[in-house]
Order: sequence, then structure tokens, then C-alpha cells
Amino acid sequence: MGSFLRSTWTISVFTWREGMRKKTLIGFFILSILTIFGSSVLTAYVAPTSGTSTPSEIESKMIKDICLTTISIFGVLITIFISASVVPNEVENKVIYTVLSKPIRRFQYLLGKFIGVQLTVILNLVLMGILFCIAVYSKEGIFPSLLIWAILLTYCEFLVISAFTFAVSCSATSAVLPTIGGLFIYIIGNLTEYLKDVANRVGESTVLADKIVRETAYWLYMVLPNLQKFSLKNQVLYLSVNDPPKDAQIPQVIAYALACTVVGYIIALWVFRRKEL
Amino acid sequence: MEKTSNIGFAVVLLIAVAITTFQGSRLEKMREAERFYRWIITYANQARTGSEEKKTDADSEGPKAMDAELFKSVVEITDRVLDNVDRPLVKDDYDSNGKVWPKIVLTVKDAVNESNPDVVKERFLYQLAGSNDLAPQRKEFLTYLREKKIAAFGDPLNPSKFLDPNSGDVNLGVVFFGFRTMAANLVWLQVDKFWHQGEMHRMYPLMKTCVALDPNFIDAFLLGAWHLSFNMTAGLPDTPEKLKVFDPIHKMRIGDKERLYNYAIDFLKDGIRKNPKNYKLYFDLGFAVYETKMGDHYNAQTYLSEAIRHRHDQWVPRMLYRALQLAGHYEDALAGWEDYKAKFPDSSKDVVSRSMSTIQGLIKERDAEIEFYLADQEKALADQARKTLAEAKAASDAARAANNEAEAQKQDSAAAAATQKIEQAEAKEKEARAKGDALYAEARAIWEQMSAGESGDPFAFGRIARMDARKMIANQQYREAIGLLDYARYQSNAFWSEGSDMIIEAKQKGGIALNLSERMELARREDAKQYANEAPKQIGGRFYEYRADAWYQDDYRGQVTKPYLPTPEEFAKSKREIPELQQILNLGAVTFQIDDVWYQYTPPQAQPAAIPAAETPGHARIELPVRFTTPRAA
Repeated sequence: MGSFLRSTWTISVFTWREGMRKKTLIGFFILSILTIFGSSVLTAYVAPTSGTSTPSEIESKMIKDICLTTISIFGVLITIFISASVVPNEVENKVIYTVLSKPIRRFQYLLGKFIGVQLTVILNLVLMGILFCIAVYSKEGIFPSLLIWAILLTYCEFLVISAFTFAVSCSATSAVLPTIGGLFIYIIGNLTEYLKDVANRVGESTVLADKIVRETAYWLYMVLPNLQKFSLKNQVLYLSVNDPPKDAQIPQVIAYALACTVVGYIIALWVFRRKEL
Repeated sequence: MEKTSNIGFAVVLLIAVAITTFQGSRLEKMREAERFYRWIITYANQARTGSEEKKTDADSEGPKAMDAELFKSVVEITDRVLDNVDRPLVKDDYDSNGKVWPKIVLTVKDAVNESNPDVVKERFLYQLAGSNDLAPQRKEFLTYLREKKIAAFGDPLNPSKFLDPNSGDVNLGVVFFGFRTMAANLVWLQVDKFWHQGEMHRMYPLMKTCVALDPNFIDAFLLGAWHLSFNMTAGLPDTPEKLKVFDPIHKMRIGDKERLYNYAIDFLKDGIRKNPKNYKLYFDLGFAVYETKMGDHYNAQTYLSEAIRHRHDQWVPRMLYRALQLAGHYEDALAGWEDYKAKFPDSSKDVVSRSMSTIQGLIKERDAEIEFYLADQEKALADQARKTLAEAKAASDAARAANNEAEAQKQDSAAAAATQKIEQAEAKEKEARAKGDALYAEARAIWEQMSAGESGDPFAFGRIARMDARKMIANQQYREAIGLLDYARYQSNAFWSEGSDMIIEAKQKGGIALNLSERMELARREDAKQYANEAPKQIGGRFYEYRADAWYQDDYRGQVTKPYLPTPEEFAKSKREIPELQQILNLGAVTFQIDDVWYQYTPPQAQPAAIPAAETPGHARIELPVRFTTPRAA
């Protein structure tokens, strides 16, 4: 067991190191830093006003929105790029043959790669989160402790995207297809709510075609990963009004993310096992 | 081997998918329960403040709102399952008819009270919303929500307003992949740009788009309402009464300014529906729009009371006490200030002390005027008894002349009874007048003290001028009164309107020619009278409408009424406790409700002035105080 964990961890660390050397990821990271700090410049255009609102309140809100959006956009790009490239690159470089010739099982290799990807994503997310905290702290003078919850939920979203992108990447020989696939997974994951609208709009119609559409839409809605379920992060960050006690939903959202990830990983493993290497 | 392995994987995958689906469905149920929980809180708050959306079939946009029916059904269940509130009931636990609010409303009220938050109740409400007890209502709620029959959340994000009108129900949020708030910020920057460019007409649609994208963008609601009610109306003239049109939604006649005020009110109410726990929205609606712009003290109190229920800044309650004072609820305002002083003994001492003195002065003035009213009533009784006495004496003399001793004795005893009544009434009148004079003197002493010194309080100065001018008018010293009032209204902003009205009154009584602006004011009043019956009047949170022959409270549906004939003491009491009553009676013939009893009031032929006593002739000639004739130092 110890050897299993050790070798898995070695693969993870190697993957992480390799990930951190990628110029694309560094580029995304630098861009995100520029955007996070540039948020202050954007908010400078907001006019001072009277009444109960102070300019700093609007500025704070805008800074939070810009930073959260930046983290989401660049975070998702980093996640997709890294998840899409780790396995195909190793196949392309033939490194995988060397690794698999050692006493390492495919399951172990894949797990190591997946954990390595997550380490890279987490590190990027943490760095962006720290910068976000600095940006908010410089404006408000208070440490935004709720940000930790917001970033945790953002990570849950990345975890699901990463798992399914990883599954696509296991069947590919280059990183291009999984990258496009990852972007589609992101888009589809956010559009899943639409399926519920489709099911609702068909309503109680008894026409067979309508029934088929309704049932298909409903079951697809239930089965496909729904990234809108992680939209709780805005609520958490702004302590939105009327929110139910936070501790009621967050554990369930995390459990959902883990369940989706397991599905993604099983698909990846299944595909990878069938791959002829 | 390969086949077995694949089957194993398929089974594991199916199990994992089933677990994910189960978890997703669980989360979905939680989200549905959460929506229901939000709706209960939002609608309970709206029901208590009377700000619920009353969308009917007749409204052009969208289907009829089902919130009220659904909430009624929730109340039925929760009244059974909830315990009574575990605290003594307070004044605002009762609705306008004096009935205690349903248990769910009181539970929500306690749960959202940020100054004394009841976290247990908040959690309990959340669990209740997701419980089996309310499962049918929850299901019904979700159906209504899908059918857009829930109005409590305000204007939903309706993509048909932004995209193709036939595009259906796709949530625009989906299009932005959760970056709606970012999009809202960019829209807001555009609003800001239009504001700087002076293109205010282009701001309103964008502000609505902005809050549709980000319903929790509180500052957009606040600034939007501020632009609408203050900036856009800044240069607008008042609309003449005949050019105003009736607005059936807000039940009032409106001109350009009022239309913008109503936009601001609707905008803020939409914000409150979406953010019912944010004090700023209640505060701006109550103070900035209702109080400052519309002079609607009742609604101002309602929303400011709600503002202080949520987490708020320290100065917020002061605006509530001010609104209470302006509405005539002096005791409540004074109690509020005392509470504030006890909580923040070192905060704005000058303001607190001045406000308390002002209210004490106003209470004394009001009580004095009530005493004068009672004295006048006694005087009327004495006059009536004198008439009876004269008649009895005459009848007695006539009976004696006709040798009808029995009748003469009967008339003598009637005369004796009348004499006794006169003595009693005169004594009471004297006593009441003395009390009134003493209270007036006390009030005056307060005003004198407040207005003393170089930085004297202008409000107190206005009150003194008012007192003196009243006496001058009673003494027929009209020109002196006009001079004093004209000077005083420029010194005291708060006195401007009343001072100007008193000048007109003095000029009319003294037969002095009115100037152009005064004649225009009278013309405006005459103009307004023509349309007075065309729109309902809102007094103390209730609407009164004119139906063919008289005014009726709008929910009057032929209930049994009794004539409103209070004794002078009862009337005086109600003047203290229901300051709005005088406004209701001023409507003329009116049917109204107090504490579940319907009254019908018919004004007497010659209705006495509401506060006639201060004008009772017989005062010594009033000399203009020197300091009133000398401009005060800058």
C-alpha cells in the first residue's frame, strides 16, 4: 500500500512540476494577475455619489466581481489546458511507455496524473485567491474570509471540468481535441439548466413526441453534470440576502462535485485501460 | 476476461452515475426548498409592510400573481404547526386592523431581526420550508414560479425583454455562464457615463437591465432611485392639477415629477423584493423618496421601521424618529429618542437633545390645543344651557302669569338644573383653558430656550412666531401678524409652508389684497378641489375612495356602521393616539374603520375649526418682539 501511494505521489509531483513549466499556464497566470490588479483602474471610473452608498462600496463590489470572474475564466482555461495535455503529451513524447514499463498499474498512473493536475490547478487558484484577497483588503481594509468558501466552490467546478476533460484526453493522442472537448464540457455544463426549461415547456402534453422530448430532457438534466449548481459562490461571497444557513448547502455541493469527479475518473480509467500502448 | 472487465466497469460507472444523479437531485430539492424559503421570508415581509405586488388579470403584463392565495394556504398550515411566539407582543405585531399577524409572519419578523437576530428561528424556518408539512405548498409554489405567477421576487430576469420576444424562457444567466454580475458592472459603467453626459433619459432602461443581470447589486437600486427621484426631477416644474392624470397602479393623480417618484418607488420596491434583508433599500425608500420627496409620513415610517429591523448604521433610527414626529406620533418619537440616547449616550448629543426638546414642545402645544378644544366644547355646552335657562325662566314667568304654579315650579327646577350645568361647564371651561394656557406657556418656554442665542434653532423660532401670529390674528392685528409670519418663514424652512398659509388666512380675514403668488396658490387649491374626488386618498396606510355621495375606506363592502359621535374626551384621546384621524374627518362625509368598528362621519353644517381655541378673542394686544423685527446676526 505504501509503495502504491509513494509511486502515485511521485507521478503527481512530476506532473505538477511539468505543469508549472508550461508557458501557456504561466501566461494565463500573468494575465489573471494583471486583470486582478487592473480591477482598481476600472472602478476608478465610477462617479462619487451621495446618499447611503459610498464610491468605495461600489468599487469593492466591482473589484470582487472582476476578480471572481477573472479567477473563473483563467482558472477554467488553466484547468482545461492542463487536464487536456498531460496524458496526450506523454503519449506523444513516448514517456508513457517508460513509465508503464515500470511496476506501475494504469489505474495508479492515471490517478497520479489526475492528482498532479489538481495540484497545479489548486496552486494557481491559491495564488490568484491570495492576489484577490490583497486587492479586496487594500480597498476595504478587512480580510475577506468568505473568499475561502467562494474559492472552494470555484475549485469544485474546476474539479468536475477537469475530470471530464481528463476522460476525453485519455482517448486522444494530441491535446487539441481534449482542449476543445473541455471547453464544450464547460459550455454544456453551464447550459444544463436549459434542459429543465425544455422539460417544463413541454409541460403535461400527452403527445408521444412531446413525452419523449420531455423525458429525454429531464433525464439528461438529471444525469449531465450541472455547473450552475456551483453558482453558490456569489451568494457566499456577498453574503446574499435571504440566504439559508450556508452550512446546509455547501457540503452537499462538495459531495456533488466529488460524485461527478468519480464518474469522470471512472470513464477516464475505462478509456485508458482500453488504449493500446 | 476483457468482457468481464468491461461489464465490471459498466456496473461501477452506472453506480457512480446513479450516486451523482441522486446527489444532484438532492441538491435540486434543496435549491427548490431554498427558493420556497426565500419566498416565505420575502412575502411575509411584504405582507407586513403592505408592499406586496398586487398583479391582477387586468394588468397587461404577465399572468395574475398567486402569492396571496399561496401564502394564505401556508398560513393555514403554519398556524397549526408553529408554536406561539415566545415573547410579549409589541405594537407592530398587530396589523392595521388590530389583529395579531399570523405566526409565520411573526416568526419571519423575529428571524430577520438583525439587531436581535434569532438564528434558531432562521434555521427553523429553513427546515420548515423543506419539510413535509409544507410539501404541497412547495410544489404549488414551484409550479407558479414556472408559470411566472410569483410576483414577490419582483421583475424576474426576462430574456424576452432583452432578446427576441418569442425566445421563450431561457434564463439569460445561462448565456453569461455565471458572469452576470460582471456584465451588470459593465452596464453600470455605461449608466454612470450617461449620468455624466447628462443623458438621463437613457439611464432608466439600462438601470433596469443592470439590476436584472445582478439582482443583488444594491447600489444600482439605490443610485438608480436617487437619480429618478432627485436628479431627474430637479429642474421639473410642478404639473398643474388639470394636466395630471390618474395612475391606477399607484392610485393617485400624477404629473411628470410624481411619475418619476413612482418609478423610484417601484425600482426600490423591486430591490426590496430581491434583497429583503438590506436596510439601505428600506431606508432610501422611506426617507429619501416617501419622506423627503413625497411627504408621505406613513409610508416613510413603515419603511424606516423595517430598515432598523435589519442590520443598520447607527444614525438610521434617527430618521425614523423624525418621520414619526412629522406624522404626529410624538410619544413614539420621543420614546425612540430616549432609547437612542440610552444606547448611544455620547453620540450627537446636540442633535438628540434638540430633537427631544422639539418633540416635548410639540407635545405641549398639541395637549394645549386639545385643552382649548375641550374648553370650547364646554363653552358650547354652557351656551346651550344658558339658552335653556332663558327659555325655562320665560316659561316659568308665563306659567306664573297664567296661575299655573305646578308648571312654574317645573320650569324653575329646569332653570336650576340649567344654572348648575352652566356653572359646571364654566368651571370646566376655565379649568381646561387654564391648563391649555399653562401648557402653551410651557411649550413657549421650550421654544424660547431653543431659539435663544446666536445659533438659535430656526424651528423653535418658527413655532414662537406661529403662536404669536395666531394670537394676533385672533386680536384682528392682521398686518402685524403678516409681517411677523413673512419674516419668520424666511428664518425657518420648516415653517415656510404653514407660515405662507397663515399669511393668506390673515389677509383674507383682514380683507387685505393678496399678492400674485398667493392668488395663484388659491387658484391651485380651487383647481385641486375640482379633481379631489377623482383619486383615492391614502391616509395612515389606508385608501379612501369617493363613491357617488361620500368617502369610503376602500375595503368597505356594506358592513354595519355606527355614527361617529365621540365625546369630547374620546375625541381628544383619539387626537393623541391617532394623529391621522383629523385628516380622515377632513375628507368630509366619510365611512372608516377603527379597531374592527365601522364608523360613519357626517360633518356638521358649520364645522368648527379643528383648533379654534388659540384664536379665542380677548387676549391682550400683542406687540412684535424686538428681535423679530431685527434681522438676526449672520
